[in-house]
Amino acid sequence: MSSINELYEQISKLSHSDGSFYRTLQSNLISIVTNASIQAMNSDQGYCFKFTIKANDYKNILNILQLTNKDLYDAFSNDWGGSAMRNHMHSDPYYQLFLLLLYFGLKENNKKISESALSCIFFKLWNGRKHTFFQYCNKDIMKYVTTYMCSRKHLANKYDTPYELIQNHFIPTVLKKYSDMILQGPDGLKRIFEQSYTRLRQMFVSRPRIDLQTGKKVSDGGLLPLYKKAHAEGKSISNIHVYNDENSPAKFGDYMSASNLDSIISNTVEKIVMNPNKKYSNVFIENLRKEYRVKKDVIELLATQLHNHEYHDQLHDIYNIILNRLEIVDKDQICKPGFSNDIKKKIMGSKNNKSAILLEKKIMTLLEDMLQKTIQRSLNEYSNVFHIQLRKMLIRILVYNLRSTVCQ
Amino acid sequence: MFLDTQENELMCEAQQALQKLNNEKESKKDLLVEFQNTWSKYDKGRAYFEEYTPESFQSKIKVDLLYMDQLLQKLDNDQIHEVEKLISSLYKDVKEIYEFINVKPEIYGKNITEQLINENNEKIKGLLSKNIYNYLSNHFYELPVERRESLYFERTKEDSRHLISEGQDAETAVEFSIKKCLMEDFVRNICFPPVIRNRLNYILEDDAFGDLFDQNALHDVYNSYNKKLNSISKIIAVCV
Repeated sequence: MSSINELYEQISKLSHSDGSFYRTLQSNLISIVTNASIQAMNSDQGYCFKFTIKANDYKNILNILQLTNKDLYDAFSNDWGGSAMRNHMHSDPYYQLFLLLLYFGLKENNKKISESALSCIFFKLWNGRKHTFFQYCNKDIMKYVTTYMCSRKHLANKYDTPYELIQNHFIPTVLKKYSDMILQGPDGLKRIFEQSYTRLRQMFVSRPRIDLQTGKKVSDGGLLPLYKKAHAEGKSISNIHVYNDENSPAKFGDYMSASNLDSIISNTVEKIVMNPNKKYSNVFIENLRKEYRVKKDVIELLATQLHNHEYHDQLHDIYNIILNRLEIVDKDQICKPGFSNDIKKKIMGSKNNKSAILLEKKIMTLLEDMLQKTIQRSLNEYSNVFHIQLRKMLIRILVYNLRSTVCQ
Repeated sequence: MFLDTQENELMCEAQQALQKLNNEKESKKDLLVEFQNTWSKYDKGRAYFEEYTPESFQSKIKVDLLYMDQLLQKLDNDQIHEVEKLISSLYKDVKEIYEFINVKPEIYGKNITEQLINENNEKIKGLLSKNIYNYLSNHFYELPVERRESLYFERTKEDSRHLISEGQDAETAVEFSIKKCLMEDFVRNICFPPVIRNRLNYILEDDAFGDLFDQNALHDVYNSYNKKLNSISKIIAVCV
C-alpha cells in the first residue's frame, strides 16, 4: 500500500470515529474558498489579483486531520521519490496537505472536499505564477490587456477574475480529466498537481521560442507578452487609445475583444440571411426614397435581395470593416443615438484610407450582383455620383439590420 | 470550253464567294451601327461630375441671388417682396433637381466664384453687370438679323400674339417677348450653367436612370421649375 493511501486510511478511520469530523473539515475548507471569493469580489485588481492565504487555515486543517508536516513529507517522499522532493513545490506541505484532501474527497466521493481542496491548490499556484511573472502588476494595464488585447480563445477574456477562472474553468476540467487517474494511485496525484501548474502557467506564458537575436527564451502567447507590449506602448484601460494610423503595424481589431465583435457580426449576418422575407417598415423605405431618389419598388427589391444567403460572406466582410472602422467594442455603441452620425462621418464620408477603399470595393461588388439580379442593370451604366448614392443607401440598409439585431 | 457540270460547280463557288463578301460587308455595318448606338447611349460625363453637397448649393444660391438683385433692381419694395417668394420657390425646385442628378452645383459666369460675396458692392455690381451685358450682346445685340429671327421668332410668336390680342401695340409686344425669352435663357443659365444643363437633359432621358431612380418625380420637379422660370422671366423682362 502506498504511504499516501495509508494516510488516507488513517484519516478515514478518524472520520468514522469522530461524528463531527466531516462537518468541521468541510466548513474549514469551504470557509477558505468563501473567503477567497469575497476577496475577489471586493477587489478591483482583475488579473493582478493575489489570494490571501492564511497560515492559520492550513494549521487548523492539519490539526483536524491530526497530522504533522513531517507525516505529509514522509508519505509524499515515499510515493513520489526523493528527486521529486528536491523541487520546492512538490515538497511544500501546503500542496501536500490539500493534495491529500483531494485524494480523500475523491475516495470518499465527497465533491465539496475534493473541489475545495483543489481550489486551495490553485489559489497558491496562482499566487506563485503571478509573483513570478508580474511582481509589479498595474491593474489598469492588465485590464486593457484582458479587455482589448487577449484573443477570445484566451481564458482571461472569458472570465473576469482569477477566482472565476479557477472555479468555473480549472476545477471542473482538471477534475473531469484526472479524477480516475488519482484514484488509481499516488502517481495520479502527482500528475494532477503538475498538470494544474502547467495549465495555470500557460495563462501567463505560452508558445515559447528562442529569440534568434538575443538567444534568450521568450514567449509569444499568454498575458505576460501582451502586458509587456501594452506597458511599452503606454496602453491602459484608463487611457484607452487605439490605432487610427493606417500604416501602423496593428489594427484596432487585433486588440479589441474579438468575441464581442464577432458575435455582433455573426448574429447580424445570420439574422439577415436566415430571414429572406423580411418586411422593412414603410417609414424606413420612404426615408430612403426621399434621401437617395431611388424608386420605392427598387429599394424594396434591393433590400429583399440583400437577404439572399449567397451574400453571407460578403456581408460578414462588410460589417467587419464598418465596425472595425468605428472601433466598436460593445453593442451599446451601436445602440446609442450618435451612431448614425458616426456612420455618416466615418463610413459614408470617408474616402482616402485603406479601409474606406476596401469597403467601397466590397459594397460595389455586392451592389453589382444585386442590381443584375433585381433590375438587370449593371453599375457600369451609372455615373460615379450615382454609385456613391447607391453605396450610401446600401449602408443605411445594413445599419438598419445591424441595429434591429443588436438593439432589440 | 467547260463541261456543263464544271460550269455549274464554278458558278456555285463564285456565288458562295460573293455571298461571303456580302455577309462580311453587312456584319461590318452592324458593328458600326452597334458602336454608334452604344456611343449615343454611353454616359460620357459619368466620371466628370462631383457629388452634390448642401454646402456647395449654399454658396451657389448666395451668388445667384446677387444676379437676381441686379436684374430686379428697378422693382420697388412691395414688388420685390412678391418676387422673392417666387424666387425662393424656384430655388426649392433647383435644389431638388441638383439633389436628383447628384451633381455639385455650379455658379454661372466668367470669373465668378463664391468668393464674390466677400467683395464690395461696387465690384459685385461691376462683375455681374459685365456678365449680363456680355450675355445679351452674344445672344442678341451682336447677332445678324437672320440669326436673331431663327433663334427667337418661333419662341416669341405665341407670346407676342397674346399681348397684341390684349391690346398692346405690335412693336412693344415683340420687344417684350424677346426680352422675356432672353431673360428666361439667362436665368436658366444662372440656375443650371450649360454643363449642368446638358447633364440634366441626359438624365431626364436616360433609360438606365429611369429604371433605378425616380425619373418621373424628376420630370415633375423639372416641369414645376420651368413654370416658375417662365413667370420670373416675365417679371425680369419688365425691369430690364
